[in-house]
Amino acid sequence: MRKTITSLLISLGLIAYSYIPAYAVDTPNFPSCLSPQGTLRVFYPNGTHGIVGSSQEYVGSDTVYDLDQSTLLQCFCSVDGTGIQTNWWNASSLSQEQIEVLKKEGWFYVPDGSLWGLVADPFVAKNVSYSCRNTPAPSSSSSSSNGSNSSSSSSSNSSSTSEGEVLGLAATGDSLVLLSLTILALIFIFTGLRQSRHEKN
Amino acid sequence: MKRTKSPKRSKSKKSKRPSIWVLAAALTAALILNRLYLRYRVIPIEYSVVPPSIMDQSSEVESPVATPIYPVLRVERLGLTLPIYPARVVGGKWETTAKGLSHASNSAGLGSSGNTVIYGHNWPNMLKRLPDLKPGDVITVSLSESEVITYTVTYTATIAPDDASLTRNTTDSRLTLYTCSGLLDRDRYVVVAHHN
Repeated sequence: MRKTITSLLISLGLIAYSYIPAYAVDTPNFPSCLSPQGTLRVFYPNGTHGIVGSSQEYVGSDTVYDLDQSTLLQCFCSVDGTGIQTNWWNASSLSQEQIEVLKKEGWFYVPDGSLWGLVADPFVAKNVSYSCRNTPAPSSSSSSSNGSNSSSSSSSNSSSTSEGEVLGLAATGDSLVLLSLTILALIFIFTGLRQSRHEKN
Repeated sequence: MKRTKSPKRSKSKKSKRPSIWVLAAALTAALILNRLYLRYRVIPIEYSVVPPSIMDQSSEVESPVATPIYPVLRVERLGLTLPIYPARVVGGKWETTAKGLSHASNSAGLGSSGNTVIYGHNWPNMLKRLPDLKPGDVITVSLSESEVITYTVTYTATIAPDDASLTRNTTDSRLTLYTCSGLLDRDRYVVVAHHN
């Protein structure tokens, strides 16, 4: 009986654990380059650019937005429509442990942001791919460095925050449920088999 | 007496134990099968049959006309035909349905200008193949037999589930379609299509 209860508790514990997301560091929310926000910092319509974490040279347009005091959004769009979004986060307030956790999650550590045209603080940056064909370019009037103009698509910024924005996007998958159910079924089967073997002995 | 009875009692108790596990495994398997059925079944389009008498009297059509009850999204290249149901926020979460796609109630209405947000499960019978869509592909939304809105895919992206920036309202007329993607559905794959 004790074994039964223990097995059940372990099974339930495993399921419960699988539902708990383990976020060691709360990362800020970055908008998508498809619908960029913030203040336009710089816009290069074409040229060769560098992407953090890659030694390659990339040819295309590059736009950088200031989101808030500690985050920036870099939107690179190559001539063939392949885009790389780089989320920049000022790491001066982060501990070494937090930086290590972020590095394991795919963030790159940049000890000196001034090499990338930012303030001389440490940064962490993460790249995300996106498709940028036909992405509206910021208007030429907003291409001045440190300008106060916002991007063409940030007009929706002024709209009031809706319920959906607060909630985020819907959960449209159930892989975790299926996986949990499969594990649970296997646990039940193995426990049953083990139990019957014990009885035979 | 005591010695002879006690082994029998313990044996009868023990023999019931495996059956409990078998029952539990069977129940779990039934749940899995149900989930798999929902993923692979053919999603029907519900039609309402309008008799010719209440239609145009001068019409020469004799047979009743079937009109979809809910709007229908079609992606010819993927062979997708799915009904669209209105979705609200319930208990702090967006509603999802196994009957088809969901149209976020806070987004622009189907056919009106703004950002129309539609989402659905990443099941094989729904939007599993959404990442196959590329810029230039055509998506249509049929509001009725005669009213069809055509969109052309312009952007695709993989974003975090808490990134709702793409669902904000816009001044242009666009369709934002998304589903779960990535390991254990931790990302969202988004397709943005503009009205032709």
